[in-house]
Amino acid sequence: MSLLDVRNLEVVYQLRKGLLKAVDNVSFTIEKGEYFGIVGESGSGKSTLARAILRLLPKNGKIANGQIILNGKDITQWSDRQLSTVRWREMSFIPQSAMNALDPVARIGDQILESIQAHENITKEEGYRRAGELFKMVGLDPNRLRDYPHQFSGGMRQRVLIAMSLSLNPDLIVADEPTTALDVIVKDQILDRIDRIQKQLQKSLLLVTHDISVVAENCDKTIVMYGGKIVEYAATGPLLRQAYHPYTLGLKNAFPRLRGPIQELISIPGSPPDLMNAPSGCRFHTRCPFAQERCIEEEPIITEVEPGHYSACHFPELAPEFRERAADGQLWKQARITKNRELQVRKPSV
Amino acid sequence: MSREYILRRFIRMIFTLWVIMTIIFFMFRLIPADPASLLIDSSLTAEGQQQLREFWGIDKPVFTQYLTYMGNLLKLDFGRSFFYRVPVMEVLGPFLRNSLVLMVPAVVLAIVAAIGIGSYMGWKRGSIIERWGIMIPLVLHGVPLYWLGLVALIIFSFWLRWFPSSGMRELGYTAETVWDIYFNIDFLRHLILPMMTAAIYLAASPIMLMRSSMIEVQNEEFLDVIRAKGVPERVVVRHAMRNALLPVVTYLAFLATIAVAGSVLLETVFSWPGIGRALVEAVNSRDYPLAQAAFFMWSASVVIMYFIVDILYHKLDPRISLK
Repeated sequence: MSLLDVRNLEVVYQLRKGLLKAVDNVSFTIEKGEYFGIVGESGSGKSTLARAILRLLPKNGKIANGQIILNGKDITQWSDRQLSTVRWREMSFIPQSAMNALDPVARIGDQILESIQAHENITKEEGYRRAGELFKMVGLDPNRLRDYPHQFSGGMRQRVLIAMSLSLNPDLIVADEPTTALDVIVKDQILDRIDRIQKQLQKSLLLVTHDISVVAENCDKTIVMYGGKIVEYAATGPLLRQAYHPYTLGLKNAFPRLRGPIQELISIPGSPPDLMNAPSGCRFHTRCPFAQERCIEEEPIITEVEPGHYSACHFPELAPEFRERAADGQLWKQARITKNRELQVRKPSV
Repeated sequence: MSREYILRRFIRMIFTLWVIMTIIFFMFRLIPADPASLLIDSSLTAEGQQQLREFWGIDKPVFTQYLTYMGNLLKLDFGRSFFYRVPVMEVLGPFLRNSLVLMVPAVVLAIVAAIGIGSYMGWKRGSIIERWGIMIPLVLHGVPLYWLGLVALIIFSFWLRWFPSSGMRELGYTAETVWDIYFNIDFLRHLILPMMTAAIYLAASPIMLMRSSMIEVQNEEFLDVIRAKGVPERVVVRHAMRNALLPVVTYLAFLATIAVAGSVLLETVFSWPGIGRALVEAVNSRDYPLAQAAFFMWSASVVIMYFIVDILYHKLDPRISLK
């Protein structure tokens, strides 16, 4: 039995203009002790996916289809009361922004204590003692438990959140862009810290990020999302070395490599698709330098291209050629031109 | 909270009151009417008139009068009423008491209700109760207090005859002791209508403020984290309220200003023998010492409220540094 089993998950937002499908038919599993990454641009649905798993969607969002199975329990339709039995105990949360993730008018220690006392009947002293141990684990001074969030720096606050996420020793920790608001050096320290704790305590970790280099350094398995769908899914090593989907190739180009020769960064032209008005066929076709007629007309189905490696591209057999050509910046610039021409062609019909 | 900080705020409060009283003192002296005409019978001999001027201290230059007045004020001596010819506090004391008995419960009730109702509306934004309920504070916010008082009188006093229409006690009643005045059913019957009118009027703005503050807080990420901990909903609401309260607390000082200004209208509409009415009468009869004292009471209550709010705010928000 997997620790987390997400099956055909579909999340929609009710907007004034209509329904927006932010997560579309997403399935994956996380095993015990696995470090799992979800990577994608803003608007790819990765944060929505994380929040759906935590059952923390905003009021206008809901799970329209599919299942979330945590430790064998289908929590997809559970009420808050039912969820309180698994929350933090089996699944905790490290949120996106360290700046607003703690109640500014409550003491740090009390906030950690609250997470423990929600599930265990312990005294304040005992809770503070345990919070102190957690503080030591993340390299913070236990004497500062009585301080307020504003007395900590951004990096320290993120460490507080890591400590807090461990307070009940949960099986799964969902980290939603835990380093986005931090500067590069602190970011690296935090990721190291998370990595060490994950290895040491054998936790399952679901890390959501837009930064493919973060995934490359840390995660065992990775999902690449685009326009609410999974476009590629594999063990991190093969995914990066032998990507099958042009979008993954594009993402790789857009981030600097830490080792090896200095290369020009190549960005993917255009912007993420408008999900209210999603492109036909393959959602990436509007920005893909390899797009063909078939990509506009027919939606690719995610298929196993190699054992354990899944990709949603019509042309897995052309992947070696794609990989070679994707390193060429000119090619991606042309992709933008095709898109513009398309727009020009469309104009008269309006 | 440092003792030094409180002391400094206290000194500033005294300074503010001094400025206010100086302005008020000279403002009354600028009114083109000689209070002497009220105090001194023109049929008296010139010598007699002079004696009276000396007795009331109005023979001296205005600036000397000012110094004497301020000196006495430090001892909380407001002088002698021109009209009643007795020390001001003897006249004003009962009026002040009556006003406080009316306005303090009204303000407290307004604050408590506003926090409760406002948070509920903010939390349940978009529900039927909120969508229709918000109209009530919106309308009350735009309505003048005297109009609200008159409507309350028409409905509850003249039509339904639930409450008496004016005063504090039945006509013809004379109290033996202070205790007698306030602690009985008859007084309560007189109190409810003006107090509720004031409370409802005063609650309108803070309800809307608390509501919008709650809506703003609702999207804060820390609430999601708290929710993810698996605590009961009421704990999440408590955190939200605690944070949403901060801007509302600042408003409370302003609420005191509205309450004080409103008490004049309210006491007039309900014929309540309070300080607001005393002030109106004092000004009409050019009873400067009495009017000045009434103004002082008003200003003091507002300034004290600001002082309290200031300290309260520091207690509630740890982010404010105590310098």
